[in-house]
Amino acid sequence: MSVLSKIFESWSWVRKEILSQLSGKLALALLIALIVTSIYAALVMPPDYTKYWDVGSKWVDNPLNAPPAWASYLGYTCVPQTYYDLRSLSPAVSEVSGRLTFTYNITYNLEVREYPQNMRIKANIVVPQGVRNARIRVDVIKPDRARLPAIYDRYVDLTNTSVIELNMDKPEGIVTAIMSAYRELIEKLRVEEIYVNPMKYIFGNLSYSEDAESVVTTPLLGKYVFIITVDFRAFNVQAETILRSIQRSREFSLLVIGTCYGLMGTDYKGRDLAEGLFFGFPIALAIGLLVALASTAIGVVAGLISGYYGGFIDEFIQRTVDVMGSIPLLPILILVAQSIAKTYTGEDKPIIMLTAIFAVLIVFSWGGLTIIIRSMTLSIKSELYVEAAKAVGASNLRIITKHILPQIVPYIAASLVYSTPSAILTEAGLSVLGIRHGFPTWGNILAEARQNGTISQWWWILPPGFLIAIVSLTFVLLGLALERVVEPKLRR
Amino acid sequence: MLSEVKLKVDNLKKYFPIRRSILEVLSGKPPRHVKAVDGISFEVIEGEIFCLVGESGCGKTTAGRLIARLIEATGGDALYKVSKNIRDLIPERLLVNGDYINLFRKLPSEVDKLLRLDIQIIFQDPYGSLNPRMTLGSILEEPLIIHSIGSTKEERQEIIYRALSEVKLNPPEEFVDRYPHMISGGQRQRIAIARAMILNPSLVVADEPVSMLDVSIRAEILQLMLDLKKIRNLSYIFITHDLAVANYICGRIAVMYLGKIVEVGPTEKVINNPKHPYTIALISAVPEPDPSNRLKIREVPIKGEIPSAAAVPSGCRLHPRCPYAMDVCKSKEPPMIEIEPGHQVACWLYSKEASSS
Repeated sequence: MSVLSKIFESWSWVRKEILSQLSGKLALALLIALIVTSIYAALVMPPDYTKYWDVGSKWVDNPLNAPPAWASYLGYTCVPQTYYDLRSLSPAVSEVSGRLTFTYNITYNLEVREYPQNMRIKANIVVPQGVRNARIRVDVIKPDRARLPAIYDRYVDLTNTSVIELNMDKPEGIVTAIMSAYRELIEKLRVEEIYVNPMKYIFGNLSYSEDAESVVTTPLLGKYVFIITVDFRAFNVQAETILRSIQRSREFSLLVIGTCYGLMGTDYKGRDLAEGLFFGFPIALAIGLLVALASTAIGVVAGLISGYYGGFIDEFIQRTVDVMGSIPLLPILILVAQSIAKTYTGEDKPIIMLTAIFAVLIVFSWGGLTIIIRSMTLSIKSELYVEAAKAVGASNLRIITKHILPQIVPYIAASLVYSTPSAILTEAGLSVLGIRHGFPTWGNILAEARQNGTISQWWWILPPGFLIAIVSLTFVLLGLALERVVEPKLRR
Repeated sequence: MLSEVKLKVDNLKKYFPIRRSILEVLSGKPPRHVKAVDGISFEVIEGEIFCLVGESGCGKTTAGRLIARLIEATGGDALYKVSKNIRDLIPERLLVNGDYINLFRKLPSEVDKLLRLDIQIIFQDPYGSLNPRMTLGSILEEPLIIHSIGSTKEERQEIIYRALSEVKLNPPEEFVDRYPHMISGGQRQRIAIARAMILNPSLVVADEPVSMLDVSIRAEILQLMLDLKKIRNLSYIFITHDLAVANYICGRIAVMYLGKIVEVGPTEKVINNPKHPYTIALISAVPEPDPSNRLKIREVPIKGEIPSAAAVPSGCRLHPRCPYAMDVCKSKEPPMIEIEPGHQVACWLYSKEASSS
């Protein structure tokens, strides 16, 4: 009990001392925020998060490379995401010679001067027995009364979660539709430009520009009507049966994908950056703290032994440090990570890679501290009060813990605090160099931005950088505050 | 005096090896040593203050540290009479002549710890010997914790208060929570003395305990040490370079020169009737308190500096500086010669052997 109360006592004193400084207050607030966020993120993180993040089909609904929703305040024009649940709508049904046709009329209002990024129909319907196949056709009536016939017309499999991307799947349908809708411009239209972004032609006002010598588009505001026709070829199946199965289906929807997304926007795969950054918290903190704690512990113990006992063990430790110090860390890290990435392909590859990176970082980062601790131990060891302690019969362990350790605690604390951000930075650097373990670390997000993003995508580049900087700042501030705690001479 | 011998040191040696350069190792030169203490023998009688005097570098501090077993001896024996309270705790096989134990043998760690209880050391520098990060209370508590004296914190507190008031740091409760930098040098040395005394030792090695203190408080500290000796029946080995201090406090004096004892005897005899040329020189170097003589520059009979202990002169170590040096001094070391009861000198001047050869 007395040990507990002593720990509590010293902790409350440390807390008081830290809180008496501005940097300490800031550091503690940031640290608590970091830790709480990390714990929460670790708790809610799905178990197979790496798979889900990297290859998941979860992101298909999101716009690609979209700035955050609040970017509209910065002058970005944001087309909102518009979702239509087709299950709840009642279609017009007609039956012609064994073909049941369901027609949905959907009104969409484009209110801002920007084109939606994409349109997508999703279906996951258990079709009743007897339905042979289904065909989906989409017509669009534009606010200028132009009708784009059959921008999409295809047989589809409705049973699995089929994603019908109007943008990507069949742009030739769109081309034909536009050609037939704007006959007067048919000479001037350039097919390859329609291929680049068909949405501009669906949601745009087309006109011929003499300057550009081609057809240019401007967003056409107003009411659009999407006519979705689902055509079932079926024998002896009632329209009501199909309708009921549609109503009971998992998913049957139309999504007009906007241009802004969520709190932090999306990357080139449409992944929600807010989520990635959020789940990056526990990983960053774990890398930083684990590496810092382990390497500091090893460094302190090795330095104390080396300095205090001397002789062969000292020589051994110091030469080991010399050898380690002359091996460059980064190539070794890349080598180890790459060879593991090649060897393991299974489910636990991210964990194994992360562990290997931990291990290499720890193994290569205790040397410097060891040399410092050793030299401090050597000088403290020869102090008269250490000799006095020996004269009263103090054991080596007691001399180390009571007389030497308290003197080097400031350096231990400083090393702990400063090596935390450096471990995070090394891991980030590794990601930037292309060593991917699969976890969405901040470094990893930055690395993908470097490869697949452009400088204009600030929502993708800045936040991970800021988070790394803030974590580093937290620990540096903490170091500044702790310095006063552990060094009595700095106290008032 | 009918008291028994407390400590009998015989041919005590301490050589510090000098690191050889690569060239020296390759050319096969033998390792060289600093012969800090080179075969000294003396006895400390129970209850006396035995002094080791000599100029700096003569090995007196090394001798003290050897006896306090802070460093290991290169050679020699020291028979130490263990005090009664720990006598029964020491295994019989380690004891010589009943109550004596050889300090320089390899001792089991529990015996080593017991002896640390019995032999204590006071250091010269009260600024370095107290850990600046510990309160005075915890500095004094450390030996108690190590030797499990006082089972509860209150009991130890009681012992610490007593020790503090014993060294005249009153009121003790005002001192326990202070740090060493908050008190004066004299008070620090009192703390150092209290730390040595708190374990109730029977032999205390005092390594120039007053040489770093202001002259104004030296007498107080010396008096304190004398008082403690009287109360506790201590034996002191008092190391000093200050003959005035030695004259004031010592029962017997051993004069050291370059790792050797050159003269040993009762204080009044060594001071008033010095025989060895080195002792004579030492005593004549003491400043004259008489104001009328203050402008006289006195002749000091020996010249030059003390040679390095790494290159000890052959024969009598003093011969390069000695005004009376003879041929025999250069080749043969002088034996210890008793010139009056208890007063011995190591000098060829007093040896019949030398005059006959």
